Amino acid sequence: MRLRNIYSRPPAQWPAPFVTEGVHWDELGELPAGPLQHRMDSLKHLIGLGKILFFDTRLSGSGKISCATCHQPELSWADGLEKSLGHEGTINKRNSPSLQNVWFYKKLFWDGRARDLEDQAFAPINSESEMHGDMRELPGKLRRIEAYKSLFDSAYGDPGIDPDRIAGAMAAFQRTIVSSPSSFDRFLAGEKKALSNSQLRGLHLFRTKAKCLNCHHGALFSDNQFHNNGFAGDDKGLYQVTHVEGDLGKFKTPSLRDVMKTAPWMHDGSQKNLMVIIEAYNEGKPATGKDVLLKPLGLTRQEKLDLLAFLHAISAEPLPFDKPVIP
Amino acid sequence: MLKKPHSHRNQQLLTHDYNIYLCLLVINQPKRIHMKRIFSIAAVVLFAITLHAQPPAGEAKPGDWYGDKITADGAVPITDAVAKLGKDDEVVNTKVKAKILEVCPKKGCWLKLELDNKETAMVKMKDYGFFLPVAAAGKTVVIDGEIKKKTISVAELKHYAEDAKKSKAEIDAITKPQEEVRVTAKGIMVVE
Repeated sequence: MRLRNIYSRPPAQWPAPFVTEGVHWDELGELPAGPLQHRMDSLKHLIGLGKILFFDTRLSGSGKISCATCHQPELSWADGLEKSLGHEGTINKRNSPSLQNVWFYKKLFWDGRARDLEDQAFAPINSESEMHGDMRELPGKLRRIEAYKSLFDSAYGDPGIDPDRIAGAMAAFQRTIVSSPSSFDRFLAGEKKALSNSQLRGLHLFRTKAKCLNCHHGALFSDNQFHNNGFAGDDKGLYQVTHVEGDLGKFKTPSLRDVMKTAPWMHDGSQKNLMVIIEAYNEGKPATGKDVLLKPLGLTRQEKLDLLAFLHAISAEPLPFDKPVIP
Repeated sequence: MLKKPHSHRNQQLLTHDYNIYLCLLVINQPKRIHMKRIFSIAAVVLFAITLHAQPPAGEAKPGDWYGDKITADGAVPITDAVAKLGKDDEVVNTKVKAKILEVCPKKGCWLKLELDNKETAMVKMKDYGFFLPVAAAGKTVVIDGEIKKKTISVAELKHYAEDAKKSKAEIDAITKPQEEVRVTAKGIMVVE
């Protein structure tokens, strides 16, 4: 098949994508290694400490919730719920995102209000509706658990425990959470039959007629920016952080890697059917505040199915993960 | 990747940039440093260089607001609201005016407010849906939210004192429970 030959060439030689003028884009590519990939050994104590803290329910006020409650390794590091359940079953405001490849994001949270993973960690711990804990009191609580002394000592060179060290270790651990290679990665690595005909057509449509690269580009299928895609509902999104009128209803572009494993979708988990989302982008109905990059696409039924098939091709089972023993 | 600090970037980021220079200087003298220390320094450098340029953290000028957009109408001095509080843990919805003494320096994660008897009130943000810039310290703000009193037991106070590495004499001197005012803010506006 002609398309298969074209896309079997290196990505640099693929047909030019349909990208709206003025949009900076990067070509799709193979799954990148995490930033700590080559430092796993030298940072093993720090990462190991972060891993234990991430799974320790004592970080919460009730002693029942850990970070892993909403970011479960076997659920692609999300929780499969529309909105996460916090302290005493409180329904949170937004959907729990997958942590796979989270090192990539320049801003954290759907509305980008945290600038890094260290910063982000304070919020769910302190929030009365999420973990209902207290970052001021947490170091003292951990100091009374004997095993943490040596764990912090190994990680930081002395046994001191403070909020920044807690957040720092968990951030290091989270930067090691990555996807496993998908069919698309195997195809890029030279396995010509790794994509079905429908998935190949989907790849081509993704890059061309469907204009997905406008927002979902690069090896992780995200522009690391914020857009109003018409699904905002009454959530003000980025506006709440910047107070810029044009940011109303904008949310962070999520990576599409493993997208078929991380339902339900959107910032509020309101979308349970990906075909409905594809259909909405296909209609491209203009609306107040909605991104002008979204225009009617004129996709046929088969083309929509091909796109869906491609989304399956960039989704993989989460990597096997051994949960830590909590001291 | 190591950019020079820019004047428009916020203080927190400048601190990180400073860390980078400092750490690199230290790394140049490896023989004097314990290996563990090098690893932790490497970790700090690594975290610092993964940071990206940020918009200014904000000056917290009068009229600036955070969280829900509120007005100053009907705000009462925080001491009046505290005086009306009943028993422990009884939650009152209120709009108070108060001076910020302290903003959790690293993350803008909590605030301390001035009360007139040299006590302080602790503020957390509702759902942690918003943060305040460190520049908010010293400003007078109106806060819309919930306020309550909480008594901290002698045992808890002793724990905190231990955590703060106080001397045994200081810890032994703690004999009375302490009342703390806690505020959960839905929206905050700078007024002066």
